[in-house]
This record gives sequence, C-alpha cells and structure tokens, in this order.
Amino acid sequence: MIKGKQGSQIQWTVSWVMIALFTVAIITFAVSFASDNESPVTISNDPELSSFSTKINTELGAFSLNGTATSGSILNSTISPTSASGTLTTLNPFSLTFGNFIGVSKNILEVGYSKIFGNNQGFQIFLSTFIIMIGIITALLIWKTFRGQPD
Amino acid sequence: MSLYDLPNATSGIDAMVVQTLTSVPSFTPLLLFFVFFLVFLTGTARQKARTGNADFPQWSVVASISTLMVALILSTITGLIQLDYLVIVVVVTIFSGVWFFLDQKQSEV
Repeated sequence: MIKGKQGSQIQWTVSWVMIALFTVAIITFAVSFASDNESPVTISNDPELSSFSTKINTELGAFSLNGTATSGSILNSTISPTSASGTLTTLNPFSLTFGNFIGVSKNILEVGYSKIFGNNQGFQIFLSTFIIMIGIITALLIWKTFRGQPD
Repeated sequence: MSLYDLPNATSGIDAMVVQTLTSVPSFTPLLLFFVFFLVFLTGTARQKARTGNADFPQWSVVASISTLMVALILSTITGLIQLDYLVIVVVVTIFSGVWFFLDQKQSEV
C-alpha cells in the first residue's frame, strides 16, 4: 500500500485501521445480505464469529474515542517560546495506536485459527510438522550462509 | 440398476443442484475453490503479462471477495452451502485483507 520506510508507525497504524474497518465491513455486509434476503444460512448463526464481530466493533470504537482525545490534546497544547517546560519531551500522546491494535490482531488471529484449522487435536500434527520444516530450512540457511554458500 | 439416481428436473434447477449436493457433499467447497483460483490465477497471470509483476495480495482480496459473493448467493437457498463453509470464506476474506493491507508493495488499487 504505502511505499516508503519499512514498517513505520504511521504505516502500521493506517494498515491496522484499514484491516479493522475492512473486517467490520465484510462481516456487516454478509449479515445484512443474509437478513435482506432471508437466507437460511447466515454467519450471524455462528456464535464465535458474532462475538468476534462485537469485539472488533468495540475495539474500533475505543480507538476512535482515544484517537479523538489524543488529537484534541495535541491540538490544544501550547508551547511557550521562552521556556522549554511546555515542549513535549516524550511521544506519549502518539503511543495509543499500537496498544489499541494488539487486541484487534489477537482476535483476528484467534478467530482465523479456530475457524480454518478447527479446535481438534489432529491438526496440530500438521502444524508441528510445518513448524519443524520451517525450522530445518532456517537452520540450513544459517549453516549455508555461515559456510559462504547461500542458495 | 442405475449407477446413480437422476435428479428430479421438474421442480427447478436449484432443486437439481440440492439433490446433486446431497449425493456429492464436496460440490460446494470445490465450486468455491474453483471460483477463488479462477480469479486469483487469471488475475495474477494477466497482471504479470501486462506489467511484468503480479500483486498476489491484491488478487487474493479480489478472489476472496468474489468467492464471498458466490457463497452469499448460495446461502439464500436451503441446503446449498453449510454454515462452516460460509464462515471459512468470510475468515479467508478477512485474512486476505490483512495480507493486503500489511503488504509493503505499491499496488494498482
């Protein structure tokens, strides 16, 4: 999306806001489509996805409120031309964004994992094998780089 | 004895599809797979031919939204799609969005 410095804070924040809005939009569209057409199958029948939708709506609302308060505090702050006491020495007013989106990321990953992979134990064999394979490849890559023969 | 029972064609094409699905339950997920990969592979292939570079996250979003549209239309008739498949399509769409928005590349959209 935004070209520039890798993983800057503004880029991450904008990305997570867009992800949260996109998620809410997709779920709301699917639920509204089902209710408009009186569908027999609707995702609002799924308790996990419904609670996920509620959670992400709450998190987005909290972000909106905190963002408004923060931007208000920045706009209303004054800097004295004669003393340094009014100058912001920390980035505290800008630090809310990461904290607000940890919950969003966690919820998205949780619902994705349980909905795609399920809660049964059998699939963990697949995941373990996959993680072991990635580990072996990483170890090989480190070893080859160490010997000076990277692929 | 016939190899399989012919669907009853007198009550509309949706009844035929529902009867087919009763015999072959994997029809719906395979149809959704087909729609997803049709859009995804043709989109990336054409973009690569056009610009020399394929934007996979962008096409995964487009493909999963197309799949979601088909899945939502299927959900209006009883028996065409199960709730599990619909939820998985929604979750895959959300994950494509996560991939797309966290992608560092400059996309065409």
